[in-house]
Amino acid sequence: MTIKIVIAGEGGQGVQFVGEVLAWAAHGEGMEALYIPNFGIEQRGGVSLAYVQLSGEQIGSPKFRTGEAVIALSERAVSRTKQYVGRQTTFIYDNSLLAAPQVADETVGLQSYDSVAPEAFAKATGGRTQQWQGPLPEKAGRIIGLPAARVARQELHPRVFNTIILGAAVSALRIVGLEAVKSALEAKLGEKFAADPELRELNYLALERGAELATEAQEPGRKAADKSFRNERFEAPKAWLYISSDLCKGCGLCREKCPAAVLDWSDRLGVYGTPSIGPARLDQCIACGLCQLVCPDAAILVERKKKTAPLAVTGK
Amino acid sequence: MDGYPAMPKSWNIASKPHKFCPGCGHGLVLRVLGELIDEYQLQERLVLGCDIGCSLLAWDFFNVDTLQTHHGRTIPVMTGIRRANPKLLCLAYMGDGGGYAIGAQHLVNATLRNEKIMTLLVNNVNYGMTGGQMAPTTLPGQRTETSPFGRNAEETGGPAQGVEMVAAIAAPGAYVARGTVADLRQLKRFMRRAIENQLAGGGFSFLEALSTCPTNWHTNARQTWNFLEEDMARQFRVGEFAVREKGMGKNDN
Repeated sequence: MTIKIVIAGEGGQGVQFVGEVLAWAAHGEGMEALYIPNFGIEQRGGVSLAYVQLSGEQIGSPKFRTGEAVIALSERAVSRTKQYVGRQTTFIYDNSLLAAPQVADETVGLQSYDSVAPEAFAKATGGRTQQWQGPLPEKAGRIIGLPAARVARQELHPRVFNTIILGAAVSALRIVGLEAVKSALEAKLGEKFAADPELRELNYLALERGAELATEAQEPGRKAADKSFRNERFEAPKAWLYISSDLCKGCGLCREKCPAAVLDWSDRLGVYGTPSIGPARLDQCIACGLCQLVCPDAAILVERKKKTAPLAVTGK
Repeated sequence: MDGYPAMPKSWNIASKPHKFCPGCGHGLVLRVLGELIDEYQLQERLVLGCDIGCSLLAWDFFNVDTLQTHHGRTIPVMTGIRRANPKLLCLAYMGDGGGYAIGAQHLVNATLRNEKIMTLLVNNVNYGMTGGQMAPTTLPGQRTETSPFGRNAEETGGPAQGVEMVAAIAAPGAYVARGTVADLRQLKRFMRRAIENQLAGGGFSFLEALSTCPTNWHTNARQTWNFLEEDMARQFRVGEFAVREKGMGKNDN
């Protein structure tokens, strides 16, 4: 299968760099790789596109209609790449809402002096916030939004913005390993790294941070809404009893079902401000687990203790 | 401790503690379901349809695609989804009101057509969400808001035997059973077979779970268990009523 990727952003955001490193990393892992940059005057402003294809077999054509991944790093890039988004597409965008400097590319002639040179781009990014106007592509199979520009600015350095995106793409698509990307970075930026070893650290950090951000963004349900509940642990002869008064509604079903009358009302208040269940006679617990089974709110967990190893038989 | 280990992975932590009343059987049925979703890795394949009534409180219960339908229309909506995309496993989740009262016609016809969907019906012998009125399943003599002197079976009939009805008209390949939250291991066994019937390409899977409603029964914990295990058990027989025979399913070997 061929993985087709479109990366788009404002000229100067480092879009082409991400595309090229991805291609080199895949090549390093023995895959076929194709990278077609698409920029003209965009180097001085406008949307810059990179087309990347990675495959286990030979790649027939440099063109394609739908990408396995579309990475759009500015608002304008989102609408520009809409056509490449299909039902199976992973759509990655920067949701930190920091304005990327833009140049109106409709009026030919303005661009040459009105644009921001790549060197100055990092500085200009994040100068002001923008309201996200346009819609995200609805069709996309999954959408991953990550605050790469903000993280770059606040935690690392504005210049590693694109390395964060690279890390996120690698982690979200699982096409090449992080190690292969690191050696591709080394090949591309080796001289700069040699001159300033801190730069290597910074880029590696950005890679890993990007991968992390993508993982967080991919599991909105469990991870983002990670709640913690008060959870007390009690020791009984045969088991550990975990009781969470933040979940207990005080229905008493467990208290009735417990065959050893271990559970009773405690001083702690539960969800509705009524007494929650607690262990009153822990020494009687036989670790049957019935209380956990009948709790409609999953407020109880019984963890049976491992049996101690039998005494070793010595001699014959 | 991170998260909470007694909860199935497919539960949506953000919506916990859930909105069901203290002692409500929905939490138990949905935990058994959650454990099976985890076990069969159905999170990406399952579509859960909620009816109106207490069962609609399951709308944000899981991290699975869930939708809420009109009252009693969960079965036809799930039927449509399943027909449009046969790769999905469609589960209609409803109470006895949605299944045996307003939605009874759909239950009958889906059974007759042997639709390849699963229906999970939670029977708490009253209309819980609206304050405990008499339902088709209400036991003879049972006091509810609208039968304050106890249900008069001569005037209003006996409790609806939904599972028996479905089993009587079920086509070959269907799975029909009644479990109870008083025996969760058995309920899980039945639910596993109902899900497996879907995965094997069998026909209609129908599982009723006898459940509790302490709020509207006005019972404490002990009375709740007694009512479920004795009064309800006398009226409703627990067990498997129709089982798919080997080779009936499309994917059976």
